Amino acid sequence: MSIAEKSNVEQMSAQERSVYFNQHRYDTPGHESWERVATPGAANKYLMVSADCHINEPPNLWVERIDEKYRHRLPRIEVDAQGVKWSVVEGYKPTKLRDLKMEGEDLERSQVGKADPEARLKDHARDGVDAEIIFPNRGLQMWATPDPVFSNAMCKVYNEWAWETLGDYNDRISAMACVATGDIDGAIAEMERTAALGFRGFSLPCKPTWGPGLQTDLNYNDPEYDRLWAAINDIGKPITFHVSTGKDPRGAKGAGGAIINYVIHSLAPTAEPIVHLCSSGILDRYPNIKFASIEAGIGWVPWMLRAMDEAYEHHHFWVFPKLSKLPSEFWREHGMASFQEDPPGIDLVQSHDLSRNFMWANDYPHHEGSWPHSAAAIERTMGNLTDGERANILGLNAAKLFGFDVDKLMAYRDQATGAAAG
Amino acid sequence: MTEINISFPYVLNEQGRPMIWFGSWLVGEDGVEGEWFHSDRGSAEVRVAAPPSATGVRIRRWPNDGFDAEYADVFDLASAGLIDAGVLDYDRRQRFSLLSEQFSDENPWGRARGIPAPV
Repeated sequence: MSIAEKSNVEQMSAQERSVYFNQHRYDTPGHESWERVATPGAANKYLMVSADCHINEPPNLWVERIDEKYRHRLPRIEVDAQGVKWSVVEGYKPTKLRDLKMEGEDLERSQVGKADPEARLKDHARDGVDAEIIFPNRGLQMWATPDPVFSNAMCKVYNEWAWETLGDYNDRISAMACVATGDIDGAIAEMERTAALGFRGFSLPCKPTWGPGLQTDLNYNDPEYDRLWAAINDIGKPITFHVSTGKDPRGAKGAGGAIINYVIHSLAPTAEPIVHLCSSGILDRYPNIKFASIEAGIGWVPWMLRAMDEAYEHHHFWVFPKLSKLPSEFWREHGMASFQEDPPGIDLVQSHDLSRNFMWANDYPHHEGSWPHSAAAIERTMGNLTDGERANILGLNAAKLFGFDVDKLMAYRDQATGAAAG
Repeated sequence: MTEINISFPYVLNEQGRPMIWFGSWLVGEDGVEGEWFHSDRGSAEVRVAAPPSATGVRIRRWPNDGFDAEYADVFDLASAGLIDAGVLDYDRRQRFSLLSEQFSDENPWGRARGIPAPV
């Protein structure tokens, strides 16, 4: 029965809704004829690196560690004159608190993702994941301010905590260091500091200036950013752009708001920094830069590549600077894109030769991800790929971009498989 | 020097874990905070000397680990006596609210207290 056919969803209990809306996660055509599989614990399991996971930071992390001059500006809950409670973050429209009742596996997903490396390893083993790249959870709010110096102060708190918590597990649980690029000098200093610690890469906001985006705002193609690109080029570690990090993703309200905000105000803006990098000459000047869009899906990538080249060729009289390659070629050589479950994007892998540029992720523990049913999700969507293409997309591409030691990860995997078999 | 006594009770949050409590000093006339003196889950009896610059104390609590903190401010420390963090009113508008007086669902960007306006 489809959701459209089900007329009494509103009358269901939370438990019934959880079961009903999670049924699709179990659907699988199986993996018959696959040389290797995604099944957790299988001896012939692919090396699987989730390129996008999240960690639940301690609620009192920032308020304890932030420089006291910023403490009163941290996100907090306010009560209005009518007694209604609002979550207030500098760069977001205040959001009314809702009593969100979760049940079943929705509740379970809301309870995992802790800052406990051993618990994370167990959760990942349950889903077949061998290594993970971590982004903040509540910390995605760190960029939500028009004050990039304040933003960088919050990022530094997160980075210090993340390294203290996860640094010993960095060979398979690896957080991206977060920086606020509106504060260029602060961002460079924090990237140099965290790179020296051992972070594998950086999380940059989709726009350096928080907000809806004005032509007068500083942006990544501004010459002032050359010193940032030069620093990244010298450091030699990849940069990532996670969804919802350049503007308030809650741009719409009312009917359909949750869907409009997800598609238009959260996912779609992630293309902006990618197009900036590929079209503005940055990669001609700084050829060591590698980058990835995170959680924005992949179906749009072939369209974006074509659109960039179309503009470069058909609007040649407006285009500057002239590039040594087509924008799409820069993306293919320098870029990656992560996704969770994107059947149209997977359908385009072979026809657009993108198996070396896409990275799978389970987005643990978020609800839009596939944990703990990733094998079924992979079987549903990747049956048309070759074994080698699946191996690239499920783990090898991310391992290469983020510099994981594949032999070490395979040894961990074999150790776990042996333990399970024994 | 004013010494204050605060009792943080043992209360379970919405996840069934002991509530996190946090105490810090208000040091200006605009709700600016200074140092913090308590941050922990569960019950505690805290006796602490207020710094000369303190104009009040801000108590935060996290009823839900997934959301940001609620807070209540206490002023007039000299006559505050024993502050029971469990009975402060976290459900009313606070003096240094980040929501402007004109705040409403239709006018959500009304801000105050020196925080930069969104672009």
